[in-house]
Amino acid sequence: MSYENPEQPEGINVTAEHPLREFFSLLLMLLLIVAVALTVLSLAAQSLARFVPFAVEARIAELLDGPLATVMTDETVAGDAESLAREAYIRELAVRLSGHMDLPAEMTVTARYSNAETVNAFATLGGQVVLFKGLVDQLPNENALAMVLAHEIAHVQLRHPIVAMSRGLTVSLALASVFGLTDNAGVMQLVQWLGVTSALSFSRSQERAADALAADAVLAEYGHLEGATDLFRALNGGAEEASASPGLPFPEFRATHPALSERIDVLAQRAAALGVSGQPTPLPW
Amino acid sequence: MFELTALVVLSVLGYFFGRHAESKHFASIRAREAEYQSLLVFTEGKLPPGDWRSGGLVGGNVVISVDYFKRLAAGLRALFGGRLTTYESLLERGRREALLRMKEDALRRGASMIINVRLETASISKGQGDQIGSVEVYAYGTALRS
Repeated sequence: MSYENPEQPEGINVTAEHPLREFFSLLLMLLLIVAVALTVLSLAAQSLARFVPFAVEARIAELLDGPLATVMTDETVAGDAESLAREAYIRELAVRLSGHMDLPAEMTVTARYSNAETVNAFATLGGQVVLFKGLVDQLPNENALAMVLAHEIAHVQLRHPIVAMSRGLTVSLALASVFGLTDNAGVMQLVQWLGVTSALSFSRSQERAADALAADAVLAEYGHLEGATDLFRALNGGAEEASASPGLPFPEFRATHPALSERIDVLAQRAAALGVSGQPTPLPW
Repeated sequence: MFELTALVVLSVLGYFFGRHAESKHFASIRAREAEYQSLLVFTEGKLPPGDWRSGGLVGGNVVISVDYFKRLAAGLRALFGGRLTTYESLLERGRREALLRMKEDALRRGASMIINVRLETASISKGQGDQIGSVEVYAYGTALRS
C-alpha cells in the first residue's frame, strides 16, 4: 500500500454549466406551467360562466355596486331635465330593441345615461348599459343610437360581462392564492376593480358577435341599416375628445374593439347585400 | 410589486456578489492546495510504516453563507427535482476550505501527514424557514510528525 495524494481533477463536484442558464431555463419552465394552468382555468371559467343564472348575476352587480358607482357619480348621473329626457328616450328605445333580440324572460336590461363627456358606452353585470353624453352628442340619428344600444344589449344577451368577470376573477384568485394574498380587504378590492374593468375587456370576437346581433335588431326595428354605420364614424371622429376626459377607469371604446373601418365595412356590406335603403330617423335633440 | 422588486434586486445582488466571491474563493483554494500538496492527508486510520510521532488532533472549520440567488435557484430546482448545482459548488468550497484550514493547522505544528481525516457538515440555520442558510464544514484528523 503506497501513501500518496494524487492531484484531484476539477469539476467532479461542480458543474461547468452556467448557473444563469439553469436558472432561466427553470424559470421559463415554471412560467410556462403557470401560463398553461391560468389559460385552462380561464377557459374553464369562461365556459362555465354562461351557466350562472341571470338573477345571480344581477345580485352580484348589486353587491358590488362598483362598476356603476365609479361612472355614475353625482355630477354625471342624469339629473337635469334634458339628460332625464334623453335617458327616458334611450330607455324606451332599449325596450323596443330588446323586443327584437329574443332575450331570455328573466333577463332585464337597464339603460342609463351619463353626463360624462367620454365618447364611450359600455355594458356591465346585471344587464346595466350606460351611454355617455360624449358619445350620444356625436350620433347624428336614432339609427346610430339604436346601433350602439343594441350592441351593448347584445353583450348582455351573450353574457359577456359575467364571462369577462369570471375569467378575471378566477385568474386573479389563482394568482393571489399562489402568491399568498391573504388580506380579505385586498381580495374585495380586487373583485370591485374587476367588476369595473370587466365591463370593457371583451375580446374582438365577442365584439363582432355583438355587432352582428345589434345589426339584426336594428334591421328588425327600422327595416334597413341606413345610419347605423354613423356610430362608427362618430367614434372615429371622437377619439380626441375621448382622451380629453381622463379619470375614468375604462379603456377607450376604440382600444378593445375591432378596427372601426373593418366594422363599417362589415355593416356596409350587409346593408348592400340587403338591397333595402331607407331614411335615418332623426333624433329629438 | 414591492416584494417582486425586492426579490429581483436581492437576487441580482446575490448573483453578482456571490459569483465574484465564489470565483475568488476557488482561485484561492487552488493556489493553497498546490502550496500544501506535500502535506499528505488520508482517511486511513492505521499508522503508515515508519517512525511517527503524533502531532495531536488538527482541525479546520469553515462557515459559508448561501447567497440570495443560490437560494432562489435552489428553490426553483426543488420544484422540478434534480441536482442542486448552486449548492454543490457551495459545499465543494466548504469541504476544500475546511481541509485546507486543517492542513494549515497541521503545518503550524510541524506535521508532515494527517491520518484518519473526517469531515462533518452542518446547516447553521436549520428549521428557520425564511433565513438565508449557511453551511458549516469541519475537517479533522490526527497529525503525524516524522
